[in-house]
This record gives sequence, C-alpha cells and structure tokens, in this order.
Amino acid sequence: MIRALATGCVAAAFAWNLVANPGLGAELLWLAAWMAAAAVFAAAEARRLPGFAHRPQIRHAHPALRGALALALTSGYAVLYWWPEAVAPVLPAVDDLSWWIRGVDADRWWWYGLAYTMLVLTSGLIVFVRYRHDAYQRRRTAAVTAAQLVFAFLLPSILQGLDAEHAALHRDWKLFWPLDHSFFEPYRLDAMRSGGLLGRAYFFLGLFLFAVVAPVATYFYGKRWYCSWICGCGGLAETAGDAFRTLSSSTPRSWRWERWLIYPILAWITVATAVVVGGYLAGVDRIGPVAIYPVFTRPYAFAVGALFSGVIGVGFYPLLGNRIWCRFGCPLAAYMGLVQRFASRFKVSTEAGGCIACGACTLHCEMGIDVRAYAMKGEDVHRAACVGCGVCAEVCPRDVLRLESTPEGRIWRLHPEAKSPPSAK
Amino acid sequence: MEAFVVIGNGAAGRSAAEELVRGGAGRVVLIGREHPVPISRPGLMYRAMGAMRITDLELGVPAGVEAVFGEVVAWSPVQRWVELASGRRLAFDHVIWAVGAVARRFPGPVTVPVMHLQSLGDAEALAGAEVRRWAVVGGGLVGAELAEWGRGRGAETHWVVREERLWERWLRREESVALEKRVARHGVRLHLGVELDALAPVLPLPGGEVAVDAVGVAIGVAPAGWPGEWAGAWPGVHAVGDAASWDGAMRAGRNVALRLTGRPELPEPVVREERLRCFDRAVTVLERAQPVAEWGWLDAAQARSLRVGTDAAGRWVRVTAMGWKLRANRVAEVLQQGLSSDQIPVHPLFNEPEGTRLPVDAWSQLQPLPAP
Repeated sequence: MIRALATGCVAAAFAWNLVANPGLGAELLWLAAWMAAAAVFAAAEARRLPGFAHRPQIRHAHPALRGALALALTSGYAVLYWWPEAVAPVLPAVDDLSWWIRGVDADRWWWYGLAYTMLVLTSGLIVFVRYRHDAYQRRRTAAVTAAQLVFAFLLPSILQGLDAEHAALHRDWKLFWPLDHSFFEPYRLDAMRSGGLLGRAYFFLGLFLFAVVAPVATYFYGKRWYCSWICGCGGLAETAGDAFRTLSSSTPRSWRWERWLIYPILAWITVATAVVVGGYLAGVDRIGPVAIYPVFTRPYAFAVGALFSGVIGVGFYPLLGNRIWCRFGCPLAAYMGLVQRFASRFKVSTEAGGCIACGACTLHCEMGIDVRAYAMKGEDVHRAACVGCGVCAEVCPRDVLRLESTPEGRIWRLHPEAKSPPSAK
Repeated sequence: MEAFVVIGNGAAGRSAAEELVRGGAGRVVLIGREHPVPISRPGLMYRAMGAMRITDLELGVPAGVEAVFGEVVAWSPVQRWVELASGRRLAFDHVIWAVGAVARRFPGPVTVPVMHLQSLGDAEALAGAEVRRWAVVGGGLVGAELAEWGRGRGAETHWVVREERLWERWLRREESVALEKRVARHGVRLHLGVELDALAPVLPLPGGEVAVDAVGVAIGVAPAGWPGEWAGAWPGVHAVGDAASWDGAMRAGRNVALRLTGRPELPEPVVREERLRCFDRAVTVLERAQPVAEWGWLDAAQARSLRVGTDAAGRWVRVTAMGWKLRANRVAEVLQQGLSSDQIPVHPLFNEPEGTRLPVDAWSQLQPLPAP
C-alpha cells in the first residue's frame, strides 16, 4: 500500500511536468532540463522507497554517484548564473505561461523561479506522504510549499503583470535582509522610492520584517517559524532535499566550520550594507579611493549570493546534505540563530532516562546537531542552528523528543501546589 | 592509583567506565571485542536496514577512559591480569566483567540459513543479505524488527509466534487483535500459536507448507559466557550486566562503578517501564503496581488504545498506551506520586503535536474494563 502510494507520487510528479509543459522544440528542451534536475532528486528519493531498502540509501551510495549528482546540479547552476545564452533557447517554452500570468516574455530568473516552485511542489507531495502520520510535518510541509508558491512566485508574478511600470519592484515578498542581501542596494532603494505608495510599503515591510518580525517571532517560536515553515531555500531543502538530510555531518569539526563561516558572513554583509547605505545617504559611490560597488557589493553578491547560496547551496546536496547554505552560509539564519540561542522559548526537550541511544535523531538532523548526545544526557537542545523541522522527534522510536516553544510551567500544573514542572531536571 | 579494567564495551561496560572516571577512579581501561569504541545496540536495527553506517552507531569513548580493541583470552584473578588475543597483558586492581548476552540459538535441527539480530556482526550480515522469502521465529520486539527488515527487503515475510496472540504480556486481547491487523496491513503473514520443531527450507505452517530462503530467529537472549559465578570469589572481581534491556544494563553498569568508588547506588526505579515498537505502532507500559481496576479506550480502526489501571483507592498505578506518543517521564511522575484522575491533567501527558485529537479530553471518558 505504502509502496504503491509512494510510487504513485513519483509518477504523479513526472506526469505533472508533462501536463504542465506540453509542446515541442523549446518545450522539449525545457522539459529535458527540468526532468534532468528532477531526475537527480528522484535518484536519491527512489532509494528510500519501501522495497528498495536493499539498495544503499543515498548516504551509502558510491561516492562517484554522489559526485556525479553534485556535478550535474552545480553545472546546472553555473550555466544558469553565468551562461545565460545557454538558457535562452528554453525560455520560449514558458513564454505563454509568463504572458498569461504577468504579460511579458519569460526571462531566465522567472523560468528558474517556475522550475524551483514546481520542484518544491512535486517533492513536497512526496514528503507529505512520507510524514503523513505526523500532524506537525503535514502542516509544515503544506506551509513551506504554499509560501514558495504564493509569496515567492505567484504574488510577485501577478503584481508584475498588474503594475508593469514598476515590474522590477515586485519581488519575493519575503524581503528579509540580510538573506535578501541587495535590499539596501541603491537601485532597489531608488525603485522603492519611485514606486509610490507600494514602493514605500515594500521598504517599510522589509525593515519591519528584519527588525521586528524576525526577532519577535524567533523569541516566541524559534527560527523554525521562518526556516522550515516559510523560507524558499528551506522549502527546497525540506522537500526535494529531504532524501539528502542524512548526509549532514554531525561531527564537532563540522560544528566548528559552521561557526567560523556563518557569523563572519553575517558580519560581512552587515559591514557591506552599512557602507552601501552610508554611501547612498551621502550621495557618493566612493569612500576616498575605494569604490563602493566593486569592493563592498559585488564580492558578496558573487561569493555568497550566487556561489554559496545557489551553486554550492543546492549543488552540494549529494555531498554535504540539504542544509549546507542554511547551516554554513545564511546570514539571516545566523541572525535568528543568535536570538534563538540566547533569547527564545524554543527548545527541543528531551526526556531524561528515556533515550536508548539508537541515533536516529542525529542521523536525520539536517543541521548536523548531535541530538543523541543531548538526549542521552537528558539535556534540552538549545542550539542556534536548529531549524525546528521536527524530524528528530518524528523518527525517535521512544518518543523522548519534543519541540517546545511554551515556557515550562505555564501548561504543566500537576497539582496546584506544584511550583515547578515535574519534568524539569 | 588503582587500575580498573572493564571487559565488554556494551551499555553496561561503557556506563561503568564512565561512572568510574566520574567518581575519580584511577586508570580505567575499557576492552571491547566487537568494535573499537562502544556502539549503540538499539541502533543495530537501522544498520541492518541499511539506513546507518557503523560510524553512526558509535557512542564515543567516555572522556578519561582508555579504549582497547581485542578479545580477552586469558586472565588470572589471583595475579590480577587479563591477556588479550594480541598477547597484550593488562594488570588490574579491579576487573568488571560486562560481556552482555548472546542471541539464543534455535533448539531444534536447523537446515536453512539462520540470522539473528543481537550483535554488530548480525546486523552487518543482515545489511548485506538478500532474501525473497523470509520467516521470523519469535514474537518479541526483535521478532517485529526482523519482520520489518524482511518487508523492507520486499520479501514475502512470515512471522511465526508461539503465543496465541501478539504481546499478550502487555496487551489485552482487543489490542493484540488491532496490532495483528496492523502487522497484516504491512504485508506480513502472521502465524500465531505455532511452535516449530525444526527450521528447514520448507516450513510446515498452518495453511500449507512455505518455502523460505532464510529464517530470522529472535527467541530471546542468554548471558554470554561470562563467569558470573566468579564475581566476588576473589577480591577485585566483579560482574555486571542485564541481558534484557538497555536501561537495565546502563543502571547495572553505573551501580557497580558507584559502589567501587564509594558512592551510593542508584535507587531502584519505582515505576517499571516497557517501550516497544511493532512496525509503526509504539506500545508504552508504565507500571508501579498491579492494578485492581482498569479503564480504557480503544479505537479499533486506528489500532490505538489507552488504558489506565488503578489501585483500590483510585490512584493510578499503570498506564498502557498503544499508538500514542506519551510523555513517559510525566506519566511516571504521576504514578510515583500516587495521584488519581481528578488530579491529573490530560494534555501534558501526551507528546502529540499541537492540534492532534487526543483519545480522551477528560479521564471520565475512559470506559471501565472487565478483569482480564
């Protein structure tokens, strides 16, 4: 039954693509490109289907196969970013759809957005079926796929059609600096200033999201509210990337790498943005002999914005797991991680004495947290990295893990005179 | 400075070594023959299923402990040394034998390949095995795991259980039936009340003869060949272990270390705990004493149940849940404190995601059950 359902989902995913992209010529090219990308994920996915358990899962697959998958993905991204002519022939395939939604021909980023969204939706369906027993996973998967479809793809596309004059203004609604690293770039600020009421609304929305929503929501719910419920990068990681989650290293060495990469990147974008905004307000594009754009903006956009978040962030799924970007690079994750670590109600609580050290939680943690080490000691997991996907709790055979964001004591009163929760260590 | 040698790096040995270091013992050597560092035995199933590598099972060597890989082939309790197969000799002031258990072998004639799931070697063998027709003998937790392993391989799987129903020690008849249906839904053919005399390529099962490629045997464990009777016969010789449970082995290991370092031992747990899993159904039993009355709720369609047993004064003494995520430590707290239903809130006892419908909103919804 489960095997039939899972196989049906994979078949439906491919059928979806066939129906959504009928035609010949450019359409076939587009289909081939999309199918190639989907095939990479399907190759990992198929190894987890029941009945295929005797084949090694992607984690144990031959390094050559994982290397080939990674090469295919990174090559695809490299072409997309730096060889637009190679992408041009496939764009006409989605022109009709682009005209229908937003009244212009497709460009490569819209094409990419469409392909990305389709991948999230179709893989999301498979993940939804896989974790169907768990209400948290069902809701989370539904939310993260819907957020990608609505906020990142449909809304901006439709608004571009309705407001062609300010088409450049309408982007992914999740305008979170520092993840949206160009938010304070002069061309974006100019567009928002000249974009009338809507432009100013975008500006204040961006500020509000960064300065108020992100820390407050993280205080109450942990950074999961964004990272595994809304974020587009997280959306791909949690759906198409789910088969790769067991590849995330949980060694102390990788934790050290994590801290030595993610916080310097946050510092880098903070300094770069401060300089850019300063230059914009002062009306200059140089600080003394130093030009702002080539020194402060372009290196970050290339190294982090394109290379790390895209090419490596997705391309290395088969080598380092599905959250490489979120774990080692995303400055927004670093920012909310600091809030989560030092000022949040969120934690993964463990039940002292209940853990049998089977290691399923650590194996499935996509952020490489050694959950077992905490559970064996009966300590709660308070980690900046945790994105609250909840899979550790889902796979725990003894049900000793629990995602909590309610202050202890508020919901638990065993009897009136109890001062502290009895589950406290 | 005293030297401690712990033979066996399983749950008992590892926790003994860890506790010895914590108690300020001198040199602590942990000898293991299965793997250089302690591994998680409950995780062997994941290795057998192909989901984990051996490195995923490694628990690490506790800080301050010297791990030695090898088999002890000789020892002298009088001169106080143990000798490894490599010829290395280790002197001790105290030796702790914690060599655990081995899978019980099938008692009758065997003419078909047989597999167990107790040691790392067993898990490795299962991970590399291919079967198309598979039978499992033994109705316990490991039997369920071996049946699941067969289904994971896509094999036709027969599960042969001596008892008349599944897990009768913990479940009522209705619950067993629900669990059996669940097992059948996973494609396993369950043969209850069947005891085989021999394991052959063709097994005589009710409903006809069944040809199998291999048989999984999970009929319990027996203490490994450790000289338990020697413990205490000489000063400085100790034996520890619990062949049956991970928690029990950990506790036993810690207790011997606490004793040796002059600290009070852990108190016996007031609430006994059993947590089992059969395919996707978890069964949790927490018990302080035998109940005199029992209330329950069973959703036969979903094979989920909840039972509360009370003593004569209406205090909770046993909770049994199937298919629900219980917050076992809170339930244990309730049992330990001897509370009755009106003192116990419903929701905090469950580890279900918010918004999940719980079996009951108030304990009064539980139906009185007849004596079993």
